[in-house]
Amino acid sequence: MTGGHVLDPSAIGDFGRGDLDAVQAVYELDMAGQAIIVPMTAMVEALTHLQTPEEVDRALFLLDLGVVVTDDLTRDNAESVATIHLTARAETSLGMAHAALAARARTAKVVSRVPERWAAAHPEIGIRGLTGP
Amino acid sequence: MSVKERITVTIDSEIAAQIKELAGHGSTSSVVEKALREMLTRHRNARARLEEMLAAHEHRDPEGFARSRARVRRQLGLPEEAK
Repeated sequence: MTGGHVLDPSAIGDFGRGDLDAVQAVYELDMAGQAIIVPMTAMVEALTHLQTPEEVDRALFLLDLGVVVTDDLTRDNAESVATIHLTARAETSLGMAHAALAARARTAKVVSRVPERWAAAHPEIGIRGLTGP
Repeated sequence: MSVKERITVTIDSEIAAQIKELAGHGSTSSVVEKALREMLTRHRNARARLEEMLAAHEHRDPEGFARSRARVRRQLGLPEEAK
């Protein structure tokens, strides 16, 4: 599968918090029938930053949408995620490294609330920045 | 009784083997149909919840909602909506 959009930890976290832009992004991609890839490392990282059970529940229900494809951390991709993490040009995270690998493997773009962090750490990855107010 | 339609899909051979094992002497199609029905129900419920969340935002701030929608569509590279 190629194309689609990968959600990074910041986008998943914003969705869990009910942020309007993040919810709109998921809705618009769903309606456009575009695949949304959720790396499970990014999901776990996002969950660690959420404050309430409702936010966690909201982030997890994302996985029930038909257009959402999960990307698991497995024996096959663990070393690549670690390598991307170690070779990042600036501060990154395991969730971002896994998202970068998922995007690279599918020629997909990453949806993120922190595009400047991506530009510094993983400049080779195409970003769709949610940079509204 | 619902009308049945034959479709051809390609799946991992490992998954195909597990479906056949689960079906046993029964119908493989029934197992697949049941799984797909469950997935479609989950998807419908998730989309309804998504629409509820958006409706609540739109009710609170219609102008902000419209601005957000246009901005997000632009950021995602989706075509502008016809006015």
